[in-house]
Amino acid sequence: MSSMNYFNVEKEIKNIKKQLHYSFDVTDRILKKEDVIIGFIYLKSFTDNLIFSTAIYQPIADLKEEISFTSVKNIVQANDVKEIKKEEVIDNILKGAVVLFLNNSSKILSIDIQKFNARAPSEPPTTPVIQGPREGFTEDIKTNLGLLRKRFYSKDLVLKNLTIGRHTKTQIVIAYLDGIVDMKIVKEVERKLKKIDVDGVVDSYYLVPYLSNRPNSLFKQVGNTEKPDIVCAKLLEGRVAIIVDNTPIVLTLPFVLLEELQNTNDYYTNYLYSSLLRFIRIIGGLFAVLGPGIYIALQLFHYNIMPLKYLITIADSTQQIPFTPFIEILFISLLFQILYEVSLRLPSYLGLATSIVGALILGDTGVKAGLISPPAVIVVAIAKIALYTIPEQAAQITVLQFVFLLIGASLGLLGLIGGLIYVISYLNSIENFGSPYLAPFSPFILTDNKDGLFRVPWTSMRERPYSFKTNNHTRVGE
Amino acid sequence: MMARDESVNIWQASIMVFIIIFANKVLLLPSLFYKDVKVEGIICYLILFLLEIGLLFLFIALKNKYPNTSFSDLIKQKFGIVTMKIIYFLFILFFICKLVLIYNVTYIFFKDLIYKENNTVLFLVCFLPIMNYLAFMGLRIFGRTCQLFFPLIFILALFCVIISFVGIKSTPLFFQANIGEVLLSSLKHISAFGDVIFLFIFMDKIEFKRGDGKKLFFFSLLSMLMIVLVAIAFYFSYTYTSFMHQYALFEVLGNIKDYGGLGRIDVIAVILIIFISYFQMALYLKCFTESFYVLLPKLHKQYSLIAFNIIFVLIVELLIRNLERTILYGENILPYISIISFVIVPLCVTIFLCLNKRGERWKK
Amino acid sequence: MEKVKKYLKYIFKTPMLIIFILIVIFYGGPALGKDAEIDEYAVITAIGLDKGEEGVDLSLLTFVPIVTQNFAEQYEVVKASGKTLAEAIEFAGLHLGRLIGLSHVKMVVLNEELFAEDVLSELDYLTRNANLALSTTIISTDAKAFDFLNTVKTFNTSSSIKADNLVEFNENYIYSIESTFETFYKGLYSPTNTELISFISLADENGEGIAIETSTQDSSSGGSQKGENQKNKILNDGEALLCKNGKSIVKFNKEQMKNINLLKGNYSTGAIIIENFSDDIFTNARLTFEIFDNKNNYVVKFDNGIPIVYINSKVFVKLSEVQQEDRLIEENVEIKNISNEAIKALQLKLKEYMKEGIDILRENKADLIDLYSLLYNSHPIEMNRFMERLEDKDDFLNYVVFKVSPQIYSY
Repeated sequence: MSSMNYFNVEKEIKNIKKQLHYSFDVTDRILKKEDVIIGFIYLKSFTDNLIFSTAIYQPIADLKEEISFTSVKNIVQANDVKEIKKEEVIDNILKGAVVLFLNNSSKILSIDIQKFNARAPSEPPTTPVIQGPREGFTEDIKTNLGLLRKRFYSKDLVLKNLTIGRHTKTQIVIAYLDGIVDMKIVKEVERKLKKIDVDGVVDSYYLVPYLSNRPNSLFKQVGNTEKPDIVCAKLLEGRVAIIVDNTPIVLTLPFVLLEELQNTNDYYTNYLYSSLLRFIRIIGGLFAVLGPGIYIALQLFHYNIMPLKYLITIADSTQQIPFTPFIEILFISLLFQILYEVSLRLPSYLGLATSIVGALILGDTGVKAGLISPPAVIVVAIAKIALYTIPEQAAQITVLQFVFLLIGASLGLLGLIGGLIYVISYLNSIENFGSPYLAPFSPFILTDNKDGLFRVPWTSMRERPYSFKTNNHTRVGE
Repeated sequence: MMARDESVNIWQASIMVFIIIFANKVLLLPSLFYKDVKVEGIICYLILFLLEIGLLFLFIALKNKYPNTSFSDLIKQKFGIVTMKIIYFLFILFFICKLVLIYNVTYIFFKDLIYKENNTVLFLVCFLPIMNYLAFMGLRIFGRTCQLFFPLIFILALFCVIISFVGIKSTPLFFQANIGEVLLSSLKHISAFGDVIFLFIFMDKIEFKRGDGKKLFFFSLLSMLMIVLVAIAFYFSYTYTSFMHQYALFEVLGNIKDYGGLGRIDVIAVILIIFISYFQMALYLKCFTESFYVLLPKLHKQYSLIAFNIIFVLIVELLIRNLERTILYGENILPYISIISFVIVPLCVTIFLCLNKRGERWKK
Repeated sequence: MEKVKKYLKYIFKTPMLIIFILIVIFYGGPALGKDAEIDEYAVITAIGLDKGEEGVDLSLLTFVPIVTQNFAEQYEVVKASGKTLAEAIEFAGLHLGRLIGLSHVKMVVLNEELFAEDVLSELDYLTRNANLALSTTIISTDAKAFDFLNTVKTFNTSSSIKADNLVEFNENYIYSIESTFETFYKGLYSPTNTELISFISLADENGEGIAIETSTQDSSSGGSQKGENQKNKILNDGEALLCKNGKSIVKFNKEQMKNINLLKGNYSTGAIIIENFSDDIFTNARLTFEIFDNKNNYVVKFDNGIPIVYINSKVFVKLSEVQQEDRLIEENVEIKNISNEAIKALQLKLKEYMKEGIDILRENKADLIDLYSLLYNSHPIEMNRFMERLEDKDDFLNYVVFKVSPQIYSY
């Protein structure tokens, strides 16, 4: 009766190969020992040959006792040996497991000896630290989860598994700290993720629009980081992290704009110094957004509110310029943006060449040739550099910079301030997972401002943020 | 999808009170008062502020009694729907008239001092979209935006007030006007006051606990103090020539030579005035749409905005454009409209406060 | 069609985007071709007014932007006449090919002749102009305002001494006064309608004053005649014109100004000389005291309807120079303290000066220390009674009793 369910190993292997479209890396091995036929099928691109032969093939071949499902399961030397159903065979093969059929058993064995070609955790280039942990996430989710686990020897770190993508079947893990996080947020995140039906998830950014309340908005509504220590801190605050396989970028939710003003370095140096830096970041960001706009507004509409001395300097230096002020500043802005784009795309050994061309030839010669004026170059250059005081928002600030440049040239100071009010009220209208985007500034939350515009010492930050919902607000005990 | 929740917390309401009280009283008023009653203009300020505080007091009393009822419902319950519609029609009239006045003052100020061309369309293009947007987006977002800009506005205002005292060089002549003149002048410019009336419109949308009235009082007194200080600094630095200087807040900074090295510090006053006028006008428009909605509840919110824009542009473009006409308008027409803020609403509120007590006794 | 509808619906969901695009199209487009305002407006830094044959002669000191890497200031003087100042300004704009921007005017120079008649009508345009700050310095001069501005031009162009600063800084001196539109009108609208205007003259080469070597290529500007006795020195000698209702009455010299300022207070530097002084330390010496600060305090009382004004003047001085025959160098230089006798002498001297100052005020019926408002504010009823009794109300100073008591603080 039971022999009816036993596998015809060769047939099964043929069948699986057919299902996998006879891809060239689908490898099968058949081991015949006495009358027992053992079939292995796996992807050679995923499996380490040596491990396969020493940990699986050899022990089975050398097996003294009778070969049965149990004896094979016991003899195999791997971490993850499990019995699977027939429908799961393809999935397991694709995930790098060796699948094993026996002609005297109705059970299928999956042995995970996936070889990861992952790079070792290294310092991420996007968020360098001066003092502090230098580890960064890698493209491999197991390594990433390991990096996270290493920071929490706690049973309360919950990792929930999901698979998204019809073709990529990407593994996604929702991480949170039980007891701290507001479960409503976790459920909401899960609901949103489960609703996603796409071909594939190549990078975690693919998930961002699905998690945002306003997917078409310019403004970022999901936090992202490459560093486990940041994720750790955010989990401790009561946030949820979403770890996606094949990308070092981990998403965190809920997101408020303040997070962009906070930098890892802030927490690893003196609090007064980091408060000063935050202030400078805000000034830098504001200048980056408004600088060129104000300059052009002053030139086109309000020469009379400029002090005479500045007026003289600007008037003298813009005299020889063949362009009108607006064209001039647009030209310089575009030039800087092109240079920036080029320097990003070019390999690093060509970077020097572009900076020479950009800085020396275009800037200096442009001024000397009388094509562009020094004040305009200075204003645009400062604005473009100031943008990187908040590097995570560089994209948003660049767009706003051009928008405000256009408004400044069109409507002057009145328009600029109107635009600023509009942008802020727009930001105020964004709410993600119940947290106001500009919290804790508006609405003003006093306790959260301890880590807001200023950072107070750790000992004074006794409570978790109120900007978003959490279960437990006490951070530091009495 | 958008956060359209309409309620604001007490801090945001207080900040709105600060902004709306500060805004339109520091530009033209000091010199207009001086023209009428010389330095006793400060007494005019005090008298009118007393009325304003009275209004605030009535609001707090009413709010304590009926924490969750809207003003329109209250009127409807006690006086019937017709009275409510009439009162809200008057509200609409009041807000649009004040808006026109404020817009004109601001327009003339900016035209004179920062934009040299007589470009009315540009001003409408700047102000209308922002006003409409803020009015459309709901009170909560408006409150939050005010809250975010409040530190900036407050610091700028404080800077203006403190710096303006540097320019004081002499003492003006006191005791030039008698009490009759002072009262007359106060009456003439009463329309610039009574702004806290907006609280009644949003009565049910302010999260209010017992004792929160202190915060409202604090912010309004702070604002009033600043205005009075600006007026004092203005009168003391310009004395006999106060009537020649129209834009008090701007001029008190322009008078100071000590900061010549910094360039023109009066620009700070300009920036402050820009911020404040945006918020103030948006708040008035919000009041307008809210009253409009009460008057014609079946119409969608957008229609009130469309109606407003048409009426506003027509009035602004056709009727008043220069300073003299604006002042005439403000001094001759607007005081009558202030009846709503200083007579009708207080009367209603007093009746509500009394009626309820009597009603309770009746029950027993 | 469906797709277009959907797209349009999406666009109309974001009206602010449409408004932004419209703004950029209607305002941003033209802005591409818009010149900088500095190219449309002529930046005027000083205005000169002379009496013309018919109306007023206007000279404007205009900043001219030049192509340079060292950001030099280049100025030109433009001349125009018209029946009224507004017309003259229009003509000046016509000559310049630009609009006239008055927002950076630092100084208005008025020829002395203008004060012979009512100067107010000439100034009317400037006070109405919202762009001209009322803190603009206003000075009178004996030379043609046009020549004065030409001298100022050489100053501003080729040195770091700016003529308007010359006037502004002098406000600290005991010999000088603040002279702006503001002070002018304040005086004009004050009860006695008197105002002081700083008077600065042009001196010739041998006279006192400050001059800047002008380069030879300068002759191209305007129509300044290079006569033999070219006056190219600006001389601020602390003189001031006293005007009543816009007409000049008298010109004060620096000594008289010193006397008035001692009463007025608000000066921070000046020198007082005591001749023939003898005490334990000095014999027959000439002492120069330098004032470095002062505070004047007025106390007002009415006695039988007569106002009494106590002027308590705190003067902070230091002994800065001693001239004495047969002196021992070591002794005199060492000694920093001033003896009581010296202080008394200084007090007497100051009293004398202040008395002279009061006499000047009385003589000219000019309430330059704003005593009226002081008396009125402290005792309004008595003051009204007092004024009612007077025939000539401007002359009230003659009936006020002054009691001055300078206190010396030496360091």
